[in-house]
Amino acid sequence: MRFVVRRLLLFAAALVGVSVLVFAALRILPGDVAVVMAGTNASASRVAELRAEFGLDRPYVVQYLDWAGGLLHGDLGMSALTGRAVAAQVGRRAAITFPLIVMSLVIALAIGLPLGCAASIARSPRLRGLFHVLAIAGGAVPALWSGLLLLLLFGRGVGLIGLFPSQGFPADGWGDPARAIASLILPALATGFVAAAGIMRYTRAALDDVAVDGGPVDMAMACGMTRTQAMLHVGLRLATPQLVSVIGLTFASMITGVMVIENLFALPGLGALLVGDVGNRDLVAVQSELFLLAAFFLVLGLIVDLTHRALDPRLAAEEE
Amino acid sequence: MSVEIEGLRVAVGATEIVHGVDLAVGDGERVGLIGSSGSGKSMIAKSLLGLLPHEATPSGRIAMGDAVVLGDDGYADERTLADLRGRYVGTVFQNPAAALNPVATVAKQIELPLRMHYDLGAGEREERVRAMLDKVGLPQDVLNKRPHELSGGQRQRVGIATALITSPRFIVADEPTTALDSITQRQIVDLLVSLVDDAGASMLFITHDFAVLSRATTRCYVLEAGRVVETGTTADLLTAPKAAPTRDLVSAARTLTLEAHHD
Repeated sequence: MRFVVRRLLLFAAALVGVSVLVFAALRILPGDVAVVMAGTNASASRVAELRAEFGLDRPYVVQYLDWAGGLLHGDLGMSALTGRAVAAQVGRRAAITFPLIVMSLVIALAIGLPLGCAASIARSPRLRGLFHVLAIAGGAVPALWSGLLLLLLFGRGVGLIGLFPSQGFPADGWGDPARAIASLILPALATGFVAAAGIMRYTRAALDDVAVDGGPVDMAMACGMTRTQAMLHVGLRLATPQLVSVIGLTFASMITGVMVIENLFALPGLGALLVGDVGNRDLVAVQSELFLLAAFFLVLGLIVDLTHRALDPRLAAEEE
Repeated sequence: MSVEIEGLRVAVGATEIVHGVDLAVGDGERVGLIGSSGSGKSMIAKSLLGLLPHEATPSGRIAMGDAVVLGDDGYADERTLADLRGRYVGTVFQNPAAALNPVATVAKQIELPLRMHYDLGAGEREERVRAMLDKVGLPQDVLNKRPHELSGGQRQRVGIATALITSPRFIVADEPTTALDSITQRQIVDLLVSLVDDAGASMLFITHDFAVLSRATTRCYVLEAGRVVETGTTADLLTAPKAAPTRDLVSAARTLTLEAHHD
């Protein structure tokens, strides 16, 4: 219990730290939204006018407190450019990006976990070598390239067999779930394949790690399990904490990974939003969006740590 | 159950570690296999039941009772080996802290061989596990504890209970006391010997320590660099060792015992 409290306090401190960092980083960046809006040939007084309008002329501390205070009760601020709430913008984009990440992760796990187990259990040198090549080759393919390949194979209009939509997202969003999912399948496969190779490698390494000479897997075999049974029942359970970390990290890396893929498939997701807002120096929007991303990473870390702990009774004992 | 090993060779990659070992354990006999570190004794223990690491390839012949474990075509299939393991053959591991499943309770650990081989109700399994705890001298309240909550000696008692819960006919004890202090060593060896004798099972006891061997076995094989260099009754080998490796092992055991007396 003490661990949970300590971990939550750490989480809160990290959130504050991240908010300060994000705020500071954006003030160091040259130019602001006023300059961009006023245009290239605008007079200094016009820029100053706009700056005053967006509250950018106030001291940094006041700007920070204003923004951070808003965050506390869920107000992400207004986009200076569109005048709309940042929360609404982010929400609409996240409804594309997050399902895409989750689908990619499901694909990656569905492929990577069984292959990783098979690679660790395999005994014949030839089979082990084959799995090794598969993992390395799979990891060496960039998502952008596998995405292109998928487009050329299955993209409607451009591919050999036009199975799935190749560009964009339905205008009515998730109004028709089947259409929405269909438009995410190719991009999810593209990121999923690459991540699957990583999951496969980590799964094999984690299983190899717990299947040490004279360890619990050998013990389970000595009790009457076959090697496969022992690896799947005992080995996999012992490797779970490690795998939880890997899944957390994969999830986190996908947040940035899918941004490239969203671009290829013309999906109006978070990636496009962030890139656009940075280009426009839309400070409040960018800083809220970055903060949300960072907070999401931190939440992932928190979940992974707490799960880790719940899965391994030895960790609790070490602390006592 | 009798066990016969003939011309056993084990190679790891291109390097041969065990060079044609012959070894026999008679029904109800307690036999020792002694050798210094790296002599290949653990490889022999692991090859008995197909627990060798995947880099290792064995050849030769191993028979247990009527079953051929290793023959001309290599190992019997994994299912056959798994049926022998934990049912007719119990294994006590060197380091129980590493071998016991860290997330399983003592009850789950000890009952595993029963689960794998017998169709018993939960109540009956628990009854047998509780009876086994008494036999190995563990209090009943360890049932719901996990290995990290036990002492080294208690853990090895759990290891022995797991190996013996199905009343196997043959026990492989691979340096079962190496990870323990000397007083606990003696208790564990005596416990193992009395349980094996009570059950009328046979045992192959592997160690590098003659002092332990004399308590645990009547006859033994001395292994050096993958070959058996001497064999005979444990008493004879202790009093009149012929081969140089045997003399070294005996004098090492004596020195340690003398030092222990001085303390």
